[in-house]
Amino acid sequence: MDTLFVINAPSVVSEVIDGEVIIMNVKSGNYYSSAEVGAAVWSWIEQGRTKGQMRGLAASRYQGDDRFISESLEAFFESLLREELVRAVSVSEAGAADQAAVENSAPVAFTVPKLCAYTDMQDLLFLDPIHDVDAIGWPEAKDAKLG
Amino acid sequence: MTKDDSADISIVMPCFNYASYIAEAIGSIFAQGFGKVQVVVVDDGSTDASAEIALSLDPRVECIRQANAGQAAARNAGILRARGKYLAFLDADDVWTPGSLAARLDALRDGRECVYGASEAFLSPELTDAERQRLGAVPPPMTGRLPGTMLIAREAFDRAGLFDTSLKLGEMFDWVARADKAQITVAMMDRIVLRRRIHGGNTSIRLKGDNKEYLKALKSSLRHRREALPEPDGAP
Repeated sequence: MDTLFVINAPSVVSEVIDGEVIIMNVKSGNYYSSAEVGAAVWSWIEQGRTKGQMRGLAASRYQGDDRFISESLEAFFESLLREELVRAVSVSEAGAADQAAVENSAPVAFTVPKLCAYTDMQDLLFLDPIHDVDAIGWPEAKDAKLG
Repeated sequence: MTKDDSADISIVMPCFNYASYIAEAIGSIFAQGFGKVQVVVVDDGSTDASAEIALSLDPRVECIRQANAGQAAARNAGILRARGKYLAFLDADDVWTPGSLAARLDALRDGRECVYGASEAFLSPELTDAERQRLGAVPPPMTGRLPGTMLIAREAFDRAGLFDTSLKLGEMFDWVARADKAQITVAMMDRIVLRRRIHGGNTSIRLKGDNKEYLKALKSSLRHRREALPEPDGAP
């Protein structure tokens, strides 16, 4: 079995801007950033790559110890799950989308992917009715520190 | 028309086709009981009678008309016309609560430069039952850094600068980050100072789905934050 990570849309939206992914969780009011390897991994998740495929991609793209890279990716996946930005779905390896698991470009240096979380705009994310009320409903402000 | 050149508080009101609501919005300003106020309505390309209605209400109302350029540009145009020692904002579809301005002014007596109060949402009376059902119960009141809940000393506002007109939505994300960087001292109040009308045509709901604009604004706020503060270490 392999694992597919599904982005928790429509509450979670993201965009890669200048090489950094910005992720916004409309439900929690938190937002996140991740650059370099983290932005690449998020793009792979968006593309529907499985955990196994991402390990293969990372091993071919980045220079470094395969085990260290794999463990770093695992920690990054855990942080995405903990922040409820993605959910994990078990898939059979045969059922995973057939996508290239290696890259042909020259390997580059590996940096540990880091998810930076920010709570300083919760009031604005809660109060600005940006959410699609059909799909998400009003934001849940119960955990907010304001008010 | 005589203008009060010694206005203590300037209220900037961007407006885009809110002829149905603007009289109530402006009425809620004058109901605060302050004589020395300047109301600058910025008619952001309305095709209805918003501007005419606004100007008919009180000689202290001034109106700037411009081609539709968005809320940030409209607020900026009003700010540049404002003469008051303090700046406040009210959207033309919202209303201030009674005593809103006095409470905020009081909160600045300890020397702080900016105060935000709480806001509550309300469903506009003209909404149909079906629309009300779709929107459901409105969220509870909450203190937050909205233009409509803010009162700020003009000198402090100018340290942070005008709103970023390159942002179609989420310009406050960017502005509050710059305000933090400028070390503007802030008070937060639980008192409800603003009632926000939910009418289905609200700017941010109208543009829903355009999340890229919010993400762009968050990226911009992060840039300001990084210039002022070190990065947090991972998730909260």
